[in-house]
Amino acid sequence: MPLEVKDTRFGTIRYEEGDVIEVTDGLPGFRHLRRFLLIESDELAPLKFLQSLEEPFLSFPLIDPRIVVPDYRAEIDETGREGLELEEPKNALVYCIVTLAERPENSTANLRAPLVINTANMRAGQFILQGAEYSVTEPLLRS
Amino acid sequence: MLVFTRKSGESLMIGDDIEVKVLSVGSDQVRVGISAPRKIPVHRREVYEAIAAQNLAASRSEAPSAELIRRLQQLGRQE
Repeated sequence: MPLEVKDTRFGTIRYEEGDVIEVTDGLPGFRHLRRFLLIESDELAPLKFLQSLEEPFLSFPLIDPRIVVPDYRAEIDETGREGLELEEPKNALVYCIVTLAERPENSTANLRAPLVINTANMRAGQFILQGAEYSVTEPLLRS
Repeated sequence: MLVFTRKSGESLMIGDDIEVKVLSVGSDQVRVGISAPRKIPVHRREVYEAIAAQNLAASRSEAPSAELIRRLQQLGRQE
């Protein structure tokens, strides 16, 4: 039976329980929110949105980090992999959270702390990468 | 806040399995070693706070403009 979440950035969204992504430890700053949907559409691509089910007005723009940095690599340590029960790297979807500014060139992506979704069990987490080669506010567009 | 005075090489235990050890002391820097179970994340506070602040900013994002989407699509095609 389809479920509904109302009053989101996208209006009313219908979903099924199997679509729900469980961010098991919450996101830094939003630890109390655990249940999300991944919103994608042709008009938004390549952006996607992580839509909160508990706070419908809250959503986080996402992007595949390789669009920003083609050779991007996220090493998720054993702790993180265990938390998501991530056994197969191919089951991992990696996104970066994006901050959209009014001017496109002021928009940034957080490459330092990627969001990893285990598609095998729909668990996700935001992991802070050790080492500082990637920035929390990497420009989304580079000239 | 509990306050302890420790010398270089001395430790504190938090519970049974978290150890905080002072490795060396300089004039304005302290090197600290943490041994904790892998399930306990340990981060520099300023990094964690920067990420929490950026998540808040991201949640207040502007609606994506058509221009931004077009430029991102161009980037995606260049790969």
